[in-house]
Amino acid sequence: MDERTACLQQLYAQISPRLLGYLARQIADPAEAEELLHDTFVAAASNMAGLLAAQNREAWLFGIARNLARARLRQRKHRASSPLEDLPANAPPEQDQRVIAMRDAIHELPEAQRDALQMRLVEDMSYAEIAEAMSVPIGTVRSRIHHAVMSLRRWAASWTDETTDQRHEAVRRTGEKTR
Amino acid sequence: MKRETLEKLLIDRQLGELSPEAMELLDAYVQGDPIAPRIAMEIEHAVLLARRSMSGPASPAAALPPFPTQRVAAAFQLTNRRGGLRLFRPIAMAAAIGLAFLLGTKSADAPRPSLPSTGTIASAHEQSSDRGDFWSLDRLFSEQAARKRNGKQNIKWTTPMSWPVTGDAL
Repeated sequence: MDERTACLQQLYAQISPRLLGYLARQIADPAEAEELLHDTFVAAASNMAGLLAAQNREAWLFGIARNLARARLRQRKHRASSPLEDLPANAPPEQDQRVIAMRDAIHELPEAQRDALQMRLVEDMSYAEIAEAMSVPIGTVRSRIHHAVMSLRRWAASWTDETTDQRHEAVRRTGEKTR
Repeated sequence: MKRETLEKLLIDRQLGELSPEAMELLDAYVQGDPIAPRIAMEIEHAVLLARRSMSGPASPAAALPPFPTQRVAAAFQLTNRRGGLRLFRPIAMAAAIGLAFLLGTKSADAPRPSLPSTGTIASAHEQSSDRGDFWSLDRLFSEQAARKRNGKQNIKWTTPMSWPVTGDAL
């Protein structure tokens, strides 16, 4: 076995569980996620110079996986490319209405903001790693995440206000009936 | 501190992207600010909800698929082949340019086809061939002498800003 294969195998052992989880969340199909995981490493084998030059190889592989997942989602024209809407059937049903509603709010975010936020919150990648994966400056990542969080904060505040109003309204109606 | 800056710092703090020193300073500021604690709480709430919403299934696959050894080896082979072609390309390009140049110089020596339209020009050239080549000094002097004999004036442009000086004034 040559050095390049050994390098890739080592990376595969280190990162593939995380990468597979990320791909499964993006694609919402375990079989396709496995296929894309393999495709990621084949793409890396085709561009070993890029991999070896990367400051963070794991983040670089995440970038390849992200591009492959986006391409695959684009191929699925029959459905919207929302990984959050495509949760598999074995996912535990969410009881909290706020969480369900938040999924819609996240789906409304621009794709770049959503991806950056997911890499930070779910994949636990640092801003620097996300920048490497998305091939953008770290300031751009920071800005995207800030915008995303601010949008979600506004949405959460409005949602809370609405539900509070609805509750107050429901209480008022109940009170009127009991009188 | 501007509210926008405060919000950005609070987001970075919530996401663990602030240094411990910066975090301490921010905490001290937040405690002394009337609206900062509420903003911090709203951001924390939004981030927690977003994390829960995005996390999805905990274990998407039962077992990790094995490393794709064969596909990776095939990719390496393909890359090597392309790399060889990439090295060969400039050599082939240089050889092609050299060959074209050689062929070009050879074709200059080759006899040109005599077309009917070039017949007159060829005969004129033959008439002047006794005075040397077209660009020779002999031909230049003989042409100048012939021009003088025919009474044609030499023209010299002394400067582009003035009228040309002709004939005896030279």
